[in-house]
Amino acid sequence: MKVLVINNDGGGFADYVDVPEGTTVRDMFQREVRSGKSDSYLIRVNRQPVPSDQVLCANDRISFTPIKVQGAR
Amino acid sequence: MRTTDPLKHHAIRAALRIHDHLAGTNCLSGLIQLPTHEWDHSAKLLQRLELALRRGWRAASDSLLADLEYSLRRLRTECDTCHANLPRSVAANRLAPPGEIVADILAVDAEFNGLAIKLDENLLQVQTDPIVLEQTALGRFRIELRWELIGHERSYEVIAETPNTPENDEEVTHPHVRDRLLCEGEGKAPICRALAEGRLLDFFTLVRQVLETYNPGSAYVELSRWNGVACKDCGYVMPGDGYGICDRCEDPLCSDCSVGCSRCDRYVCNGCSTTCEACERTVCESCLQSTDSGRLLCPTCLEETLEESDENHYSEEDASPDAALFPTGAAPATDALCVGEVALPA
Repeated sequence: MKVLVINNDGGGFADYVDVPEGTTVRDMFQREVRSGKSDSYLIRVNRQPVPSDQVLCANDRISFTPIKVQGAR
Repeated sequence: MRTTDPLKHHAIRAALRIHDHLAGTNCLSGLIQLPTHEWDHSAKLLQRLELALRRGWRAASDSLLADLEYSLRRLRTECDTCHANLPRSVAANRLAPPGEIVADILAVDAEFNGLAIKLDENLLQVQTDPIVLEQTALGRFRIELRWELIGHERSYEVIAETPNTPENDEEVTHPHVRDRLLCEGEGKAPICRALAEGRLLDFFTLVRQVLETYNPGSAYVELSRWNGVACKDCGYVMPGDGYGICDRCEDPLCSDCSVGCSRCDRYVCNGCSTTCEACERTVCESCLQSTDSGRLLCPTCLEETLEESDENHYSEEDASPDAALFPTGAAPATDALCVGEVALPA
């Protein structure tokens, strides 16, 4: 099935990806944000906060946004 | 599409306009920029450092080395950002359809305070919760997005509702906001991409996350100096409501760095004080006087030197066979301190 994945870390890319049925939010996080800890991110599915064991559905929109984003001068 | 909910009605109209604007603009065009400015700046600093080293200017060399180190760190960060911004493919740019933009606007309304959609101004605005960084309360910020400017410079502004500015820079309302402009740092690429793709919830969320994060290594004004005033000489931060100043230049000055002028009793900073070349007492620069030969003396030493010079001069006149040539009061000009050197008449 296809889901829209938005990774607001680094380059901030959004793209549709194919994932197997039964993929959870945690699986998706580990696949997309390899180096981070999940509690350092706002994780939303279809714009709503979700638990990490939630199973994704076809055409879901999942986004990962870092809680800390360092500004500059 | 019909709706009686005024918010949804406005959201739909705004979403259609935003979509139209984004569809006709290459909003990612400025995202990938090679850091040529940082490279040029580093090259100039290196040239200046080499010059300072050749001439043996130790203090200037230290300062330039620190500047070069900072500039190269920025260059490396810019290169990393540039690399991270490269799209996975040239077809990776994705524009949210109007329905998704409407859903984003409604989600923004649920997540932020005070959403306002001003169709006549092409403006969307929200308000953050009060922001406190390291126990410094900075208040709420209003984020104003002018969607017709997306893809151009400064499409959004960050405005402090009740500004708490540092004492020496009223344009700074947050360690990373100056003149209503957020310096996005790590957030630059994702914010730009979220705007270009019409992901408004991501845009407002990212801006809020930058505002809620403090990066002391790259702040307009560090929070440790926010509520105080730094001593001009040593940098010690003094309370904003009670600190000394240099009686001459009026710059902030701590008690350890203030120096009393032995002549006028004023307290001055290091830059406004110096020592008399004769008695070596500390005096402020205003009290110091220069002799004709360029020596800097306090008034007392200057007076003594002049008197001494006069005495020597007259005793030489008396002994000189040419004394008659120079009647009293008509002697040629001499350097008061170069005793024994008398200018010859023309």
